[in-house]
Amino acid sequence: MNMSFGSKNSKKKIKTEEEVQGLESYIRDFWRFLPLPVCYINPVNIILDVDEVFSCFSNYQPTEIIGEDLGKLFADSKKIEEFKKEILEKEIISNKELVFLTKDKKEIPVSISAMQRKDEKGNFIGYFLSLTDISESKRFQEKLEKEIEKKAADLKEKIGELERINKIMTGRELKMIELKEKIKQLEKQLKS
Amino acid sequence: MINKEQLDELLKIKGEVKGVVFQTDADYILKKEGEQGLKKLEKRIKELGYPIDYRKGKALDLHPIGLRVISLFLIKDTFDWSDEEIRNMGYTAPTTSFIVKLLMKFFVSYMKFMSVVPGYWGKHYTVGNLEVINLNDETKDATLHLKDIKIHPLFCLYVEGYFERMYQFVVGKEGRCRETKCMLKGDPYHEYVFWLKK
Repeated sequence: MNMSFGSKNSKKKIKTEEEVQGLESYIRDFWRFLPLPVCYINPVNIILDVDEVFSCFSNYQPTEIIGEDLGKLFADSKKIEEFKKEILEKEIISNKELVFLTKDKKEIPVSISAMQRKDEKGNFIGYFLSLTDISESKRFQEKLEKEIEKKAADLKEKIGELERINKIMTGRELKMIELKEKIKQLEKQLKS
Repeated sequence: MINKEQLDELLKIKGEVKGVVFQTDADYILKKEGEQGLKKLEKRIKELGYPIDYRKGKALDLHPIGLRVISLFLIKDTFDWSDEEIRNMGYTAPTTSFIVKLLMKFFVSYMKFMSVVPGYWGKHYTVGNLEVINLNDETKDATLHLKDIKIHPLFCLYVEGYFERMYQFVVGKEGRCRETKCMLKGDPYHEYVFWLKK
């Protein structure tokens, strides 16, 4: 009886271990696959995990950045402090623009998204944070803004020119009317 | 210089350890000594006949606790590392540990972590009991006692580094940990004291 109970328990234990090992392998593969820089942060804003892409993006080895405060990774300390407060209140934050600081102090404009994690009782236990490099779109936006500015200046110049021509034409018209009036008066004088 | 007989003696210590410790050892060696370094260590382990698999071993599999110290010994000896480097290996381990990832919900706050500390030890070792003796949420000072585990001074040093990093994870600041009492020096338990760096 006891042997059978022990054997059942042992089988159950082996099955659980296999499931956990499967989960371990799945988590490792998933973190390796993720094509975005992603990290996991605890409620006191300490980085507890990063994926490989995050490591390449930031130039930090996981062992260098895990255990550090999230604030170390962003240029504007005020904005990141605001973000830290915001994530305590919102379950999801999408596309917030910040400037990322790599290990070699290179500044990269990024859009960050974050999602809260909660335990079974609904307590906040940390959050996932992902980064999107928006340098290209920022450059494109700046180029577009400059082009728009240039076009607007060209247009302004052309409008000015038109206004000048219009003024000249109007002056000319008025002069013509005046002259016609004079001719009429002269004709009248001649007749009388 | 330690010989094989002395290392074999370590295998007689009762208790087991999870395979995750060998994974974190391998991560640290790869970082410090590169692929060649890890191969060098693996060759040595194989020659001595110890069943440590740094690459394919599973994080949650159980191994004789003596292998934990054997691994530390052979790493120190192979690369001629100082004690401080072994402590630093412990300090770095939580940053790559799979068990830390599994138990992330514990690293929520100083008080939450300290309340689950005894169970946390059990997730890694089948011997030893970790108890919280003193706790101050305001100053973040703490004292832990590790009982019923008498292994080796190198292990104590590794654990000291490991605890220091765990402490920093939950206080969010730079902190320190020191072993102030040790069973290997005749004390009834190992005592680890934690405080914030001023």
